[in-house]
Amino acid sequence: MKTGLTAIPYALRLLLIVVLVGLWQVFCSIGLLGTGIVPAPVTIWHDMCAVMGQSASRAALWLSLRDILIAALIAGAGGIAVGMIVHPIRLLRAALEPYLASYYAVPTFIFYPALITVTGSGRLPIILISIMLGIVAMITTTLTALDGVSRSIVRTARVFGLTPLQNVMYVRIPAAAPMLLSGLRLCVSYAFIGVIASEFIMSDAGVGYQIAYAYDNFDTDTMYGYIGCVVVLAAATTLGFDMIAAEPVKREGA
Amino acid sequence: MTENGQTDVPCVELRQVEQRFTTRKGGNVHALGPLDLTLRRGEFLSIVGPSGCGKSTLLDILSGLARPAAGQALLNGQPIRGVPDGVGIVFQEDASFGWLTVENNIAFGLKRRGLARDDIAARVEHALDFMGLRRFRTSYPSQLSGGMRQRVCIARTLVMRPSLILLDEPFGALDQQTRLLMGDELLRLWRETNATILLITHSLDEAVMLSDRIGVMSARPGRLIKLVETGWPRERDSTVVSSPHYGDLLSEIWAPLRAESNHHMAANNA
Amino acid sequence: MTAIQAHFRAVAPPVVLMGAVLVLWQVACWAYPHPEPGPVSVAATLLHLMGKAYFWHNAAATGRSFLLASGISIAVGGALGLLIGSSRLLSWYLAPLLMIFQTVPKITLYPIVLELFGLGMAPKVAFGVMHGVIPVYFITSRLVAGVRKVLLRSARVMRLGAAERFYFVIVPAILPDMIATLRVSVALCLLGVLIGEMFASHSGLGFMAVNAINLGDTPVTLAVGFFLAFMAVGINTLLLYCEHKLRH
Ligand SMILES: Nc1ncnc2c1ncn2[C@@H]1O[C@H](COP(=O)(O)OP(=O)(O)OP(=O)(O)O)[C@@H](O)[C@H]1O
Ligand SMILES: [Mg+2]
Repeated sequence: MKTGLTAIPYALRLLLIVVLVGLWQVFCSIGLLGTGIVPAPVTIWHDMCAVMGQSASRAALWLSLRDILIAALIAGAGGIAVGMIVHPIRLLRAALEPYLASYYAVPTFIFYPALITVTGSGRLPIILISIMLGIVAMITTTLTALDGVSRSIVRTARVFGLTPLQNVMYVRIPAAAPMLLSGLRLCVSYAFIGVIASEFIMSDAGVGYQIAYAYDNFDTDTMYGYIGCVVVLAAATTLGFDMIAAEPVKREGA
Repeated sequence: MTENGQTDVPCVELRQVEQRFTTRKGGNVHALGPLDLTLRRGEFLSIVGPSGCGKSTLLDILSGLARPAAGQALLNGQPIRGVPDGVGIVFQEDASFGWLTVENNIAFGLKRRGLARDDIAARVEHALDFMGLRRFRTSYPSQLSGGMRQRVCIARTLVMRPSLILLDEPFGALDQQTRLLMGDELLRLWRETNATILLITHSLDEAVMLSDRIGVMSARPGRLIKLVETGWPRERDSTVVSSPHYGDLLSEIWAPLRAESNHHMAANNA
Repeated sequence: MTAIQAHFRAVAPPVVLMGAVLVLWQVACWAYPHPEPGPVSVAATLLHLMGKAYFWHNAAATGRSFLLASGISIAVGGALGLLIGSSRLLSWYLAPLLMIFQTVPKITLYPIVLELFGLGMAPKVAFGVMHGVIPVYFITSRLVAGVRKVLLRSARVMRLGAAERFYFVIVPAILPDMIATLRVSVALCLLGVLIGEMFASHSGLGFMAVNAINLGDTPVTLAVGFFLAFMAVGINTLLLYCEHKLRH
């Protein structure tokens, strides 16, 4: 329950962001930040409004957002499933571990063009590459989370004679829930990066494509408008997730 | 000096000390007190009491880690503000430093204080013997059992030669035999250094065997409900268990504790 | 003997897995011929590339930027994490700001980075730091907040000052976990540097890869990709080794 007193810190947190944006605006207005580098927030806001005023741009944003959600969901669910399966099989885990840890150093989207030649162009390779990007974070988090479930809890579950499925549903997942949630948040992060970066590199639709297109045509206003929209979307998902995720974490800490 | 070696000079004085906590949900927990207690210099006092009655909270106040919500806590006549010099505490939880070997754990405080190298080495050697840790001097805490880790923490505190030693269930993780032996060692150290000791324990035997006085605390909020003088001579060890007086003392502290526990359980079930 | 056995047991499974994947891939290439190259031809391309001076020139450029970017990320992110992480309140207020920055695809910011840093090494390092510094901060502050309270209480009872507390208690307490998790953030630094090279540079392996992509030269793209993967696994193994040395 977030009512009365407990809602205040959340409001203050939002206020902090507002204050920082305000400072940025002031710096731009008095000329401390050259407008050649980054435009003032108000300018960006106007650009954003201009972009959002066109139905084609709204469609582009919606398209990206939809694919981000699809990719995040599949990567999250798939990552948890793979993690659950791999965790008890020690040999498999030992085989996978070094690749999981160094996975993020390899720019996955180097393989995106190669993927296109296999799947054909369109939204499928974009979603696939975003899943590839996010699923490993989820697998790693699931493995760490399962490691963190204390031995006595695992043993208790065994003593109660739970079936493996019951064990997963009623003991392991609830015990690992706070960490799994933070893994899911990572999946959303990576889906964002995956979808927009792929669109940016090679695509003909979506926000990423629009930013690259505007940049190539020296249309800075439109470019900053789209960038602004991406940042706002990222902020909204992050804060939204934070509010959902904060509750169980707190309960665990209390 | 009285005949059993203590003085009547107060070392610690607690006057109407209380502690309260606010919970995350904004509730208020009355954890301790009001409590009056005087520790004479050089005395060995044990405290027993039901779980959660505020014993660790009391030690936090005495070691300057927490300020009481009400009342006064004096050390050598001065109000306790911050961690005073010459106070050593062994916590209930394992506080050994996992990244240091046993000997480096023990030497940690001495090194921070900048003592001469020979002096540190000598004190560490002595502590290793004293605590039976010689074979494990280069081991890391993760390679030790819970009881041995606790001994490392005791050694780390005692090598500093504090004049007031606060012990929170220090022997909780030890087996009964080791408990008895460690108790003897603690008594010997206490006699040698003239330190004042406040020991929190759940073991009534231990309290009766080691102490000059035993305080019995009520359930939360903990108050002192009985203070028993054992009358043991200063030269004593675990063989006092065979003294006829021993059983009397035991029943003397068990009676109020039993009533308190019954009362507490009934209250919790209501 | 046992040491060698243990070593073998750690190394064998990943190597066997990689071997199995490569064999399957090659077999698939033979069974269903299509324009994509198989592992044999990628390996041949990589060997060929590794004989060229310009390849090593580019690899060294990537390596330099990577080292610089990870150094800056660890120093800045670590210091902030230590300072802010010990204050529950401060880190709670700053968390959403940093999380937002984490979620924004940095690639969309590249026009701004180009504007600020021009072309060359600086924007590459900037991209590396942008990717790495926030994760390092989050890891450090989470670990600092997780240091067991009784250790901090011990430090207080020993009357350690703030600097001593950091140096003698907090840092050693979090170091092994720190290195364990740094493996991931360092990997992100490498990713950032490569992105920088792909879009804001004329040297480095990322630049080679993007060139090959634009030319439709898939064998070279994959060869560079696999070289990077090997490097990443190598760095990871090195850090893993350090971690094992530090854990008792
Ligand atoms: N920081 C805190 N916030 C809220 N309540 C607290 C806090 N610390 C202690 N308490 C409460 O104060 C009471 C006394 O706690 P304390 O740890 O002193 O008990 P104790 O006598 O040492 O118990 P035990 O014998 O189990 O160690 C408990 O009910 C505990 O829940
Ligand atoms: Mg306690």
